[in-house]
Amino acid sequence: MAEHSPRRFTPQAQEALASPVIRQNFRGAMDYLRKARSNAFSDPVEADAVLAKAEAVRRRCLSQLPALLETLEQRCTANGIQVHWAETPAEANAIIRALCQREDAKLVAKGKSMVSEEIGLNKHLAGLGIDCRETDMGEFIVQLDGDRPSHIIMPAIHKNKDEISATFEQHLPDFEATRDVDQLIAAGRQALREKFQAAEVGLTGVNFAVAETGTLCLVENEGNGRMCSTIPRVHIAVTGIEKVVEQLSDIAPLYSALTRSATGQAITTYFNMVSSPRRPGEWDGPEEVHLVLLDNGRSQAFADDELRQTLQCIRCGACMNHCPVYGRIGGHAYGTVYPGPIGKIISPHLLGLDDAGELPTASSLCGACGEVCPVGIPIPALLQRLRVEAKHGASAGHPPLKGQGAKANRLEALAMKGFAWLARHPRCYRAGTWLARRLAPFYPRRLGAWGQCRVTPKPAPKPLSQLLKEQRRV
Amino acid sequence: MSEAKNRILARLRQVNPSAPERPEQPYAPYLGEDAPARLARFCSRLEAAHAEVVRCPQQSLAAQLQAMVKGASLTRLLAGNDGPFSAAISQAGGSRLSCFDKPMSEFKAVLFTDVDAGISQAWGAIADTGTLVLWTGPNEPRSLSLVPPVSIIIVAASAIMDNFAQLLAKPQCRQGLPTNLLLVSGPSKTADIQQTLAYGAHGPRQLYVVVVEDC
Ligand code: SF4
Repeated sequence: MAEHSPRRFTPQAQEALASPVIRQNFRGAMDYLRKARSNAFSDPVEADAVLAKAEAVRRRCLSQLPALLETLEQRCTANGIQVHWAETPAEANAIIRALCQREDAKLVAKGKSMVSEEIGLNKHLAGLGIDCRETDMGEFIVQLDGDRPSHIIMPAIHKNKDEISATFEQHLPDFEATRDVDQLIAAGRQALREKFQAAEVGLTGVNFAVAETGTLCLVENEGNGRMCSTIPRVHIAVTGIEKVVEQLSDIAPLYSALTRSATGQAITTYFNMVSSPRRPGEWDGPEEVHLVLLDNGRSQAFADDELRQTLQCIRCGACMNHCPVYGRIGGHAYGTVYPGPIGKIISPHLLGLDDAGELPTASSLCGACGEVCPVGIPIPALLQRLRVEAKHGASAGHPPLKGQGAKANRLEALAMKGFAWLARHPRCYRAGTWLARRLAPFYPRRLGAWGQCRVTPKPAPKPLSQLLKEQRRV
Repeated sequence: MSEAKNRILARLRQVNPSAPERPEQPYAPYLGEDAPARLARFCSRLEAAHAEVVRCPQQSLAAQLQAMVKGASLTRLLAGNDGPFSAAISQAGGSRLSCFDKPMSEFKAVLFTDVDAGISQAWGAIADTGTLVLWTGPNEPRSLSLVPPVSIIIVAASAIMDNFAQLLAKPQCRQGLPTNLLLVSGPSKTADIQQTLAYGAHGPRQLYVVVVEDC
């Protein structure tokens, strides 16, 4: 499978659109997830209240971010959790690698973590002979295929059970093809149980990090996150700096908003709150717990009052589940770790506006993402803002974003300037429209790709200004 | 790596985000009318999540457990050292019961292959979502409710709270969380294959809950 890149968004999207299997797999999944979410928020008054609260909590916590991070580090350290800071993916990988090498680890059992995808951890460790094994069922399937997750909550959403059975046949010894989902899951369970026992290190993400108590919270249904944070001798949790919340009480509304938005569940099977390594007298649990806090462009988003809202995200995936673009092209076409609407607003900070390619423009701005976002991120407004930043230099008083102005186009800028000038000079403007009407018979019949599903526009016989004038006369 | 820390914090400190303008509304999740309503909601939610729930008085807890163990043909049981229901557990388990009293490194193979069911004693429960609260520690190992294919959890009816927010507001939580505080709301599950729900993904396939009504 060729590596996808956001720079090749258009051909990747076209390829996805041409695949009926991808279209069908996503259609089915989107319908299911949307229905589940809407059932979970069936009482609009209650829904408004909990979502308003969740948004307010995220805003408040972000407004105190540096202080909360310091408190988090203090409390974690006091509890015996070792805290590490990384500015870049390379630094985060180096920290994790050093910990694994010190353990002489051959196998790392990994729970679902989008940040570990963001830093390319599996590949990095594989290069050093350390097998970093995904243990979330969806991630496990995707990893067997040498594939990438196509959704942040349901990584194998692009595959149906026949495809998964074929994957297992190819990679799991003694597996017999089946369409029975229970049997497929049982096969995965069996294969992974061995890994949990053998792994020297367990790695997970973090859903919420509580500053008040130095507690790392993990949300999951399968129990693999619990395995990774319970069985191996060392547990490493890796997360973005924005995940910190102020107090324990902040978790309740966020957790409810998260599970209901993500999969329509009132609660997940497990909520796992880790506050320290194994204490004296305890028989199980890791003897060491490490927390790696990653910046990787988040502080850039933080610096701007509007773009900071990007960091409110609790990674529920609802925006992609409701996105008409995502629903048709799927997650891979974006070529980024975070696909869909959230990917379009976070990737420019992680990768730069240049490397994020056309992503901010890959939206119809229909507004569905902003409407369903449980923490009130105005995604369409942020997309428009990023489009502006990609086309222009930084405005006064704003430090330039990574890749600022990367999409600037002299010709386009000139054309816009010309139009602006024309619009402010009525006589010339009228002359222009007069000329346009006269030239109508000579318009080309085909207008390239734009004209594929559109007819060439014809200028109206009379301009609007004239119609208005005539009406006033009547 | 404290250099990275200093640089990250310095960048964040350059900005002075204003505190949110609107005052935050209090969060108001489910409140039960009374104890029976709480209990009913707790049981129905758990059952909806595919758990099997039975209620019994403390007096018949041992018999209840025994019937459960027999019904599911569980022969190798594991429990923690001590807890409010330990006497009943010992009585029910008899020779089939062993105690989790070795460190994980020595116990892994037994735990993963030789145990049919782990028996845990919940510290609390949440009615709103049908959730068991496990305050793990020396007497309540966290892997008991995770590794064996069957998980049995005993909880006192009086320990059922209305909602998660109430749990988090408890002084015990704010002042001294255990190594691992766990919420369990059903058997392990996944919908990762074509949105089809399957139980026993990595944790227990079956969850039995015994609510002791009179304590
Ligand atoms: S942007 Fe909003 S809807 Fe999208 S994943 Fe984040 S929290 Fe969920």
